Amino acid sequence: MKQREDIVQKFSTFLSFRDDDGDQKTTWQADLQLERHMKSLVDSDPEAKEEFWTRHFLKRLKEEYPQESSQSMQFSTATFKIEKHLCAYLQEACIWAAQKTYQKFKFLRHKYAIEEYFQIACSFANLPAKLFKSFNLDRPHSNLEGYAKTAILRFIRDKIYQQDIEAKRLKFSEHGLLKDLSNKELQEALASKGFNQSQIDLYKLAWQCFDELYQMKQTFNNQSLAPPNQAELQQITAGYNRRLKNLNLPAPPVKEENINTMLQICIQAARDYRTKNFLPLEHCETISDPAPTLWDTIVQEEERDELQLIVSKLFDAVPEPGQTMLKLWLGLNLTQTEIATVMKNKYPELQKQYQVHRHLSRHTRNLLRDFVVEWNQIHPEFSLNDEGDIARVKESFEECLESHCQRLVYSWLERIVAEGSQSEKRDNKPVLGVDNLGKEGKRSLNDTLLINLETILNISVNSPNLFQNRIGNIIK
Amino acid sequence: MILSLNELMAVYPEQLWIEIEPEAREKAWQQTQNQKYSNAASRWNAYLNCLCLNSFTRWIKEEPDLQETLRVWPAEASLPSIWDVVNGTKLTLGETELVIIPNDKSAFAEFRIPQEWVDIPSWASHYYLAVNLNLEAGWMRVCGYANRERIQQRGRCDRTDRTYVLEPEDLIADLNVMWVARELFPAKKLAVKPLPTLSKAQTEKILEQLSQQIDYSPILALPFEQWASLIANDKNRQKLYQLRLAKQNIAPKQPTATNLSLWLQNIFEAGWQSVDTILGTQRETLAFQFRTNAALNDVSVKGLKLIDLGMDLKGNTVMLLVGLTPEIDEKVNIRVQLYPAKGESYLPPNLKLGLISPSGVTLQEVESRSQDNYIQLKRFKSPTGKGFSIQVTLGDVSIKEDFVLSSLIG
Repeated sequence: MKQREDIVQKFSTFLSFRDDDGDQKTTWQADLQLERHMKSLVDSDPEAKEEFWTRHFLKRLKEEYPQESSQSMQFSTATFKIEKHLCAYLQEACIWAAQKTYQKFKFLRHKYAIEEYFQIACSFANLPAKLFKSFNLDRPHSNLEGYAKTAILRFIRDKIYQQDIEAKRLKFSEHGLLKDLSNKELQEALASKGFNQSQIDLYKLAWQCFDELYQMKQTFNNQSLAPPNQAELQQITAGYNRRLKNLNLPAPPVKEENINTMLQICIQAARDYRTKNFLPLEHCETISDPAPTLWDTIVQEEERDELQLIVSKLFDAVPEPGQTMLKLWLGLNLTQTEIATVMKNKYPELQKQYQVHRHLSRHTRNLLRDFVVEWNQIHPEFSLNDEGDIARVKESFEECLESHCQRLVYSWLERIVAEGSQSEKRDNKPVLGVDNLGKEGKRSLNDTLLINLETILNISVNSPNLFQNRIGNIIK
Repeated sequence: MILSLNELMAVYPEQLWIEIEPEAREKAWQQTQNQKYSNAASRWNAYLNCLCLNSFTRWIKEEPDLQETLRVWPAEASLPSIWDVVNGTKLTLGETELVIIPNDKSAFAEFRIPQEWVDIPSWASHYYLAVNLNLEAGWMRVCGYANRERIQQRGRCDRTDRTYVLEPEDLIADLNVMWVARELFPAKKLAVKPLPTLSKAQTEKILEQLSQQIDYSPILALPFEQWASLIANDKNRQKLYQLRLAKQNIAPKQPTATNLSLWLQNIFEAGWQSVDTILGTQRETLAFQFRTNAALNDVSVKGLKLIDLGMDLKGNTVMLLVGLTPEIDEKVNIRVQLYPAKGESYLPPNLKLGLISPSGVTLQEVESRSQDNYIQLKRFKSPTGKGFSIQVTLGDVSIKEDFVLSSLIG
């Protein structure tokens, strides 16, 4: 993929996938209107950098969408244009997130293509006001692109899970679906139908009484829940009328037929809401961007090296199986199931994925704890004092841990490749550089790598294919 | 695509995932069946909380780094009186107080925390854990947690059900942050506004009022502060619970017959599961393999129940399978089989499986030998409107399941 260089391009072109005789090609397609607009902007201020324009657009967008009422959008062409500019700008972040997700989620039985991930990512980038909801523009150093990347990654992941839930719900009966809804989903579905909040409150009250009083006939599964019968409806109605009074809601009491109609409207709204494939963006876990703390400023500057130093020191103190597991997980990107396959011979307690999951979690927890202790000793003036502080440093800590593990893996690979070439020289075979490996060469390199990995990781590699793929990725 | 537990764990590696096996589900169900609740919603609430508590406790016990013992607050015996009216369970671990709050909706769209856990001084805790249960797929996950401060800052109070609502993004997803924080920093003192005290006369009046209507939750019937000061008091809460139960006038509950007609509509009562569901979710883990058994392939609905014959340390669990095939003559063809539980290849020897008529006559019976993979009764027909019982006997322990085929299909 060609990177975009020019500022006008960056804010006016979109990535498109093209199938060229079975060969996937990506091209940048310009939106002419956006291009003209951006050109005139750049002409008016030729000195301004990319970062300036992003912040400029974002600031204007935030003025258009007052924080709270992002539901009611006043659509102006100007807003629309700004959104498109930002969306164009986010294209690289989208493709980055799509590729990263693709690599990470290869183990899913249902495979999504990169294009699908990209599409999901773009559906989020299309709504930059939502995407940047918690981004703090007032901080001059906050990293806009990094923020967007993390937010998009999380969005894709939540979207996949949500699609999974929706796929299951397709099989639900009307009342089964109604029972499975959450308060918030119903709120959104009704709002999308154009009801006002006081109407929605009444519908939700009816639904709440249904949800509470209509217990599935003690079944574990409410997929095929039948509609309530007359007696049950009476009970729901009585509950509704009583609560109306308790809550002092300005609405008259209702009869069973009304309750039934109200529930039907809820069902219809929920069904329509799903088929519209409306993206309930509130569900996405946006990363909060709390006020700047001393810690943030520290990490931004040269202290990053120090962080890295602490992490590598602590890493060396992790017991042997933990180190190996972390190297496989973060350094070689093996899945937890794969780690179990590799390690179970030597460590019988690591048979199943959940066991690996648990051990990994324990090791990172202890590392995180030791990290906090160590940090507070070195920097009592910037000490971490509560869980809020820990939550804030956690991400930087994890990044350091990941890059430490990757560095370890890369350095072995380099060493092994170097030693491999040495021995080949001795054997009078052609010298192999990583750049020009023939088929033969690749195979023998992989063999060498495997043997050496066994020695380095001190485990027997009983499933070489696992490693070949990962190593292949790294070499590429 | 339906994501498996393994896949979900890898998609959300920072969250805590716990597998819930059918046995654990059955156990929690039995536990709550043995307690009394004023209505079906309360009973379901108790079941979810009990299951969640059992699973979480088991997980904590397996955690070698946690030295303290997890305790139920205020005491295990108080749980029914709490679960009868409020969702959530408070636990203590050393100095740390935490509340686990389950929900069983498939999407985790928001975290709703009952106001009682936040605003009653003795109930308030340091941490609130959002637990999402998927009973069908057999797992639970801790989607994240919030401390009390966070709830006060970010929580929106929904007055229609008296909960504080947090967005998923307001939670810390990784429970490790909580473990590290509680290990390194002393527990913060919680500052909770005291509640007004109720006079004796007031209390009596309120108790009377609240025990009138028992088919739904009483929480909205009073202003929050009155309600809160009533149930904050252990004695008064117990009294309320007893009064509500008395109103319900419950005789010890007769075990009811399983209605097989519902199965034909794909509705299974608690304790029973559709074999399709089980095979769909846990194919690898179950020992029984119906495919070897051609006799069952033409059966249209199959239901399965775990039966615990636990009279000795081996904890003999067996699986009772009932298959139904509707016939043209309004009768239903029934096949009954008994399988060893998960992980076992053979049934215990001398296990008896019998068919008993409504009047108590044993119509047929089979007994397992030393290496039987399963045993079964001869196929029989039962007319609609009639009942029958299946009895499983091992030594002097015997468990009877009653069935009925109601004629009200459709």
